This record gives sequence, structure tokens and C-alpha cells, in this order.
Amino acid sequence: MTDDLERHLRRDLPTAELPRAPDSLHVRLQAVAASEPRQVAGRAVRRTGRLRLLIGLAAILVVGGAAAVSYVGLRRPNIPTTVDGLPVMTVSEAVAAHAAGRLADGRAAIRGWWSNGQVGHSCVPSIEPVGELELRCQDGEFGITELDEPIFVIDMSSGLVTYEAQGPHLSPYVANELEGIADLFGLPIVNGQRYPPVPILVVGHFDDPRAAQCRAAARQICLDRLVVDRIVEFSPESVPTPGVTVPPTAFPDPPPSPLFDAVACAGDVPYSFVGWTTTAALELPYDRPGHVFAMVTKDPVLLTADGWEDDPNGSGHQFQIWGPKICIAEEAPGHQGEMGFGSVPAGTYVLWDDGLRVPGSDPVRPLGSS
Amino acid sequence: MIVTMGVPARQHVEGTLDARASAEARERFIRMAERELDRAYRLAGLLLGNGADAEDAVGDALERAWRDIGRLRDTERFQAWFDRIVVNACRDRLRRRGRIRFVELEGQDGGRAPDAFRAVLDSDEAFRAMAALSSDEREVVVLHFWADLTLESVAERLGQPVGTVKSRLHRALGRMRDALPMPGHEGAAL
Repeated sequence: MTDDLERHLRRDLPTAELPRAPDSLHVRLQAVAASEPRQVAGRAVRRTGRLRLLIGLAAILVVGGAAAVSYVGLRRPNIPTTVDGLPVMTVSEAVAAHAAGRLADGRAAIRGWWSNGQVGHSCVPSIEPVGELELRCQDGEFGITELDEPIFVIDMSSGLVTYEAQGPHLSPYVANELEGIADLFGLPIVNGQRYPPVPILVVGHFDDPRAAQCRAAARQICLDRLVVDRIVEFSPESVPTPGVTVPPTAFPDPPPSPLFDAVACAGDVPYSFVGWTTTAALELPYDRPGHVFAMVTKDPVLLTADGWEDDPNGSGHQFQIWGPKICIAEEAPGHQGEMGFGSVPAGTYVLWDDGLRVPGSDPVRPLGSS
Repeated sequence: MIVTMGVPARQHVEGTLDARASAEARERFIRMAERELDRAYRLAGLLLGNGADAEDAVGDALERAWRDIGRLRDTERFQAWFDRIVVNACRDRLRRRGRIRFVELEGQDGGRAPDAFRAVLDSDEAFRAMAALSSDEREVVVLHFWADLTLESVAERLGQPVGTVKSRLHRALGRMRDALPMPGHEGAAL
């Protein structure tokens, strides 16, 4: 019931002369936006379903879908067994040989598959000077894999998921002036999909002297960085190009792991649903993109956090709200890691302290009830 | 679906297309945030009771918003989305502070300007009564009366059931009435 206090607040609070944001906040906004958002922390080693952050994306590509391929006119790459007197090794062989000190002058000839999964993002600038061999902000997003798989993929089809190659892989340092670099980083998008991994053979070396310019914490990474001296073989035409895209898979199969357990939801009670679904399917009053991890109790449980609540309409009665509880892993901005709650409308009711039960979630006592 | 061509990479410098896309995103964020800055500061000031904390909270909110801007699917909802971030930033600040406490400024304080929010909140008995509220209750009162949001919108901003919001509002108004100096009219409104 509206009274003088409410009328006063409604009339005078919005019109109170509150100060404007100080100049320092405007300056801070510029600084925040100029300082470059931080890159995703760490890498997703496996498909986890956990949402990751990449700010300022320039490319959004969807993984999945069975694309028709064309093998007509393929030129099979010529991968020799030795190059420049060096045995041709796989990525893991070369890394192991370098670690064991078995590479003369740190030189190696490496064969594998080249892919470039880079998208438009950037990293918070480093306070210290960064050595060029660190490949800061981009390490792992392009390079050579031992297996025929992309080195780095971003999947936006169900939230934001990054994939890293499962087999051995490395991101080499490739100088801007290296002959053939434009081919490495100029693979076209075909039918809306990134170019598949391309067979590659390079000659390069580890333990480059420029490792001394790297920050102390990155020194070993730089020593272990393959510096490409020559691209021996790079054959985009030898791989089948993606056909016309089909609608992306709506959700990964098998689905990602659960994000919370029953203890965090409603405790040890029977659940009618545990898994990944959409907020629309749950008929929640708010939307979240893609799929969310949810649990739904089979039976009504207490929903009001504080137990008995006072009737907002001033009847003097108290109420509780009961219903099949819906718990979702909340990933909305500002709420990552939290949980959102709702209830199944059909089974939700308001229980009054006098035993009255009213369907719905609105604590309004029927007319005529005391 | 937005696609871009691969570009020749330089090891620590973005390609032309990538830099342009990042610059556009930055400009867009700045435009949206600038439009909401006064509102956010006032919202935070009402929740926290003073401008210094409000400035810190909004600054924190800006950083969180910029970090998470990729999650905002619908730019039309920037205000609602940013409201939630500001409210959460204020909650964090309150948790650190313990509870809302208005500090009386001394008469001779070395020339420090009086806090503008404090001045407004002190200027009216009803506003001053908000000091008696818990942070949860204050959020509901500010969002419903100052931001003029329906209770459903308040619930959505706060991630709470509407029933809980209504109950908290009722409790908040009761506390405010109790805190108002009403000789001979206990619990009465203004």
C-alpha cells in the first residue's frame, strides 16, 4: 500500500540533486579502455565447457558440422627424410632432442601441420620490455602440430570455449622478412571456416641468442623457442578445403562436465533434471546465452532464502515460497562463478503461515482471506 | 558470423584487421560507458553513502565491464548489465567495509570539501533514514525509487525472486518509518 513515505521517495529521490561523475572517473574510463583487457587466463587444454574471455574478437568461427570436402586435384606434399643434412623430425622428436642436447648448433628440420587460430585480441601491456621470442599474447595460437589438428580454436557456438591441440605442438618464431611468411599467415577462410592444418616442413634452430633479451621468467621459453630459418615445404593445396558449411552443432556431444553438485543447489533431494539446457527451456524469467548447466528438483522445496517473510501488503501474515527449484551456473557479467535460481512455474506456490496455499510466486493473499 | 582473413603476423604487434576491430570495440565501450557514468556514480553514491567510495566502486565496475564486454550480447542492455556490475562492486566494497557508517565531518577538517552525497542524504529525513537499512534493503529502495525500476526489473538486476524483492522493500520501508522522528506517530509516514 502506497503511503506518504513511498510517495515522497518516488517523487523526491529521483529529483535529488546528486553530483555528476567526477572528471577522474572519465579519465579512468579512458585508461581502462586503453590499457587493453587482459587475455584469457591460461589455456583450455581440453574441451571443458568453462567460459573463457577473449576481448575484442575480430573473428568468430564455429567448430563442428560435417563439411563436404573435395580431393580433386590435390598435390601430395613431398616430405623428405633429410634436409640440409638434418634428419627430418616430428615436433616431439625435435623437442626431445633439443632438451637432451642432441641437436648440433640447436638446428633441426621439423615436419608437421601448420595452422593459424589467431583472432583479434590483445593483452595488458607488460611493464618490463618483452623479448620478441616470447611471442607474448600469441604463443600457442599459431604454429606446428605433430598431428593433423588445429593448434588453437575458438568455439562461440555455445558460450566461449577455446581448444588447444591435443598432440605435441609448438609456436615458432617467424621473422617478418622470412620468405613465405605471407603464405603461413595468409591462409584464406573458405566457406566461412578456417583453412585446415597444412603439411609443413621447416628448418630452424633453438637456443637463439635473442633469448637473452627475454624477461628472466621467460628466458627458458625463449631458449626453447624454435626460430624458423627456412620454409622447405608448405602445401595448402594438398589439403581438402572445407565445403559449404552446415548449421553448427548446437552443443558439444558429449556435453561438458557439471559445474556444481546437489549440495550447492537444493541438497540431497531427488532431481528431475541435471545437465545442460537453455534458459528458454527452463522457462526462467531471464535469458542467458547458449546452454547453461542446470539442476531442477523433482519436488517443491523452500525457495525463499530467509524462511518466513512478512506479507508486503501488511496483513500481518508471513509467507514462504515453495516450488521445484531451478539452479543454474550463472556466467552473466559480474556473476561468474555464482549460481542463479528460479522455479518451475507450474509447481510453485506461496505458503502462508495460516496454511493457505496460493499458486504462483506472488505473495498476494486472495480477497476475503484474513 | 564475422570472419576475418589471416594476416601476416608480427610477433608482438596485432595485424591491421585485428587492430581495427579492437579499436572499434574500445570506442564502442567508451561511448556506452560514458553515457552511463553519471548514473552509475549516483547509484553507487546512494548505495555507499559517499562519493569517494562511489568513485572507487564505479572504477572497479568499469574494469570488470571492460574485461567482460565480450559477454554482452545485446548492447541495448548495457545499462541493465552495467547496473548489475555496479551493484556488485558496491556490495564488495560494503563487505570490506563491514557496514554502512556515516562519518560526521568535523567543522575544521583542513578544507576538505563536504561529500555531496552525504549532503543530499542528510538534507531529508526520509533519505537519512536509509542509513538504517541493510545493504540488501538499500539496493531495493534505491533501484525501485531512485532508478524508477519495476520490482520485476529490480529482481532481475539483483538476481532475486520478485517475492523476495517485495518482502525486502516492505521491510525496508518499515525500518525507514521506524527511523523517522515522528513524535506521537510511531510508524507513520511523512
